[in-house]
Amino acid sequence: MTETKNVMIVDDEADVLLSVTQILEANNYRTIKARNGQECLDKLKEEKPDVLLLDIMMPGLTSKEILRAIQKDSRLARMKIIFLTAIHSLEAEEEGLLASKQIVDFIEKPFSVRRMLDAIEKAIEFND
Amino acid sequence: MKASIDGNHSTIYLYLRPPLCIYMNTEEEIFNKLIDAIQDIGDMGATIDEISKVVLIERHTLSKYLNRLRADGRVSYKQIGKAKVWFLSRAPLQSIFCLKEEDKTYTEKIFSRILSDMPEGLLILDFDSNILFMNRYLTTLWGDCIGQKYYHIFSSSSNNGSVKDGSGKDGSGLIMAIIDRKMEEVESRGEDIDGRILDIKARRVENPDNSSSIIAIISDSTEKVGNEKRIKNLSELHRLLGESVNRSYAIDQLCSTILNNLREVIGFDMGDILIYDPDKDVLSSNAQKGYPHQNENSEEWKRRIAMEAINRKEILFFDSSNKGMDKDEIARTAYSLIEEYNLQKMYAIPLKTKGEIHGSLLILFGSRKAMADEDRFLLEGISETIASGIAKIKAEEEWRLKANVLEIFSHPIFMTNIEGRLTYVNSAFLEIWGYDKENEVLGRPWSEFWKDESKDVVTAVCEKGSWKGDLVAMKKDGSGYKTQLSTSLIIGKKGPLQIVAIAEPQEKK
Repeated sequence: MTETKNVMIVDDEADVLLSVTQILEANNYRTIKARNGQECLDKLKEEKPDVLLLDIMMPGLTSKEILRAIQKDSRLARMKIIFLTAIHSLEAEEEGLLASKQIVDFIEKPFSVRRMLDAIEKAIEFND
Repeated sequence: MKASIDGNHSTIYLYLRPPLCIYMNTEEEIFNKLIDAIQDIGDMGATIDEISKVVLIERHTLSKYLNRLRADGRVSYKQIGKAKVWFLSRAPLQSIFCLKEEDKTYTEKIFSRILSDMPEGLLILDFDSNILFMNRYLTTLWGDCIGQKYYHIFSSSSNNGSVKDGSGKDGSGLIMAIIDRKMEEVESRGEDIDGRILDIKARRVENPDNSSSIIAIISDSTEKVGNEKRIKNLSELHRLLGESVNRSYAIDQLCSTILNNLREVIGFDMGDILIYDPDKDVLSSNAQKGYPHQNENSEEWKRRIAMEAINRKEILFFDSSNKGMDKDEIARTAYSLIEEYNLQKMYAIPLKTKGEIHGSLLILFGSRKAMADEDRFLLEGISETIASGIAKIKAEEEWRLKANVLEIFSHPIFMTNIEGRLTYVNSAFLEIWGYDKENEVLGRPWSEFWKDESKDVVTAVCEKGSWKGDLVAMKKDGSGYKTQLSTSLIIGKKGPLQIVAIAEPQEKK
C-alpha cells in the first residue's frame, strides 16, 4: 500500500483553493490549505508537505519572501514547489522566481487539472 | 490720551485716541482747495510756497494738511534738492510702492505688503482705460505698465481692447463694457499679449470723490488650463489606445493607429517615433515624419539601436549634450545619427509586457523643443500599451492557429461550462453526431448527446478533476455510437472554468 502524500495549496482565491483541495483529496492526496504567504509559512512550521502548490500573485508576503523563508528551513529541503499562477513564466523568470532547485514546474492559469495532477505525480517521483 | 506703566520693563505705553472730527467739513474743503491749487499750478508740480500763496495757509499748517493728503494717497511729492515738489497722484495706490520703506506710513506699510503678497493680480483702471495700479503679481507678468492703456497688455495688434477668449467672448472687451456702463461686473477668460491664459473678474467701484474706477482680479491660468487640456487629451488618448488594442487585428495596423492617435491627440510633433519589429527587422515607415530615408546606412543604424534596446532589455537614452562620452559602438552610432539629423535626444524603449519583449520604440527628438519629463513617461507608458496590444494580437493569432488543429483533428473535441452546457465543438463532433452547424448544439446540456446516463460524469469531473471511461453517444438521428471519453476540468484565476473532453471513437463511422 502506497503512502498518502501531502500537498499544500496556497491561493488567495477561495474557489481555486476549494476546488483544487477537493480534487486532490478525491485523488487520494492529503491536503493542507493556506490563503496567503504568511499562513503558508505558519503552517509549514508544523507540516512538512511533499509538494507545495504556490500562487505567485497574492496580497501580503511576496513570492520571493516565501521562497526565501522556505530555503532557510532545512526541514523543507526535500519539498518540491509547483507554481500555479496567472503570471507568465517569462515574467517569473525575470523576477528571479525560478532560480531555486526546489521549483520543479510552472503551471499557468487557466490550467487543466490533468496537467496539474501529472506535475504533482512527477514532483513526488523526484523525491522518491 | 491714556498712559500705563509696565512694571517689569518700566515702559510707558501711550494710547492715542484720534480727535473727534468736528472740523471734518472744513478739513475736506481745505483738502479740495489744496488739490485744486496743485492742479492749477500745473504739471510741473507745486512747491509748498506756491501752494501757500494760493490757499493762504501758513507753511507749517499747510505741511500737515499735505502730509494727511499724502497718507490718503491723493497727493505725492518728489524731493528736488531741499524742496519738496507736490503732485496730484494719478495712481494713488501705486505711489505706496514707489516710496522707500522708511517713508511709508504704518497703514501704507501694511497695505503695500497685503497688495504685494496677494496670490492673484489686482489691476485698477480709471474710466479712460488707464492703468492706475497693478500689484506685484501683475508687474511680474508684464512689468510696470502704470499710466498705459490696459488693452496694450492684452493685445499688441489691437488698440480697442481685443483679447482672444476661449469662450468666444472678449475679456478685454467686457472690461470696455464696464467703462461704457453697459455692465457692472464681468467675468471672463482671455489671452494676454504673451499668450498666457488669464481669468479676469472685473467690476466698477465708486471712488470717494464720486468718480469711478474698475477693479480687476486677474489670475494666470495658463498652467491650469494646460494641465486641464493635457488631462483631457490624455484621457482621450487612453480611450483611443484601448480602442486600438481592442480593434486591431494586425501588428502593423495597431502601430500605425497608435502613432496617429499620439500625434493627433497630444500634438506630438517633436520628431519621429518609429516602431521596430524584430521578427521582420523593419522600422514601421508610417511613423516617419521629419527624418525620412536619407541613406540605407542611416536606416541600418536606426535598426541596430532599436535592436540593442531589445537585447539589453532596457531603455537606451542618448542626449546630444553628452556626445563623445560613450565609447561603445552603439553609442557612437547613436551620436552619429544625432549629428546627422540635428537631434536633441534619442530614445530606444523596449516594448515589453509580462516579461516578453515584442519590439522597440525608437524616438528621434528634433532640436527645437525640450522634452518634458511627462512626455517621456507618457512614451514609456505608451510603449507598454503597444507591447500589450502586440502580445494580444500574437496570442489571438496563436489561438486561431491552435483552433485550426482542433478543427482538423479527426476525434470529436468539445467543451462545456461547469453546468455541463456545450460551449465549443469541433468539426469531427458535428460530423459524428450528425449535425450541420455548431449553433444546433451549443448551449444544450451535454447529457442530451449520450445514450448512457452521463450527468454523473460532469459531477465526477468537477469532483476529481478528470474522468475517463466508455460512453455511448446518441446521434442526431437517435442511433448510438461507442466512444471512449477523456475529460479534464479547467481551472482559471477565479476557480473552475470549463470542462474539456475528447471522445475517441470505438467503432467505424
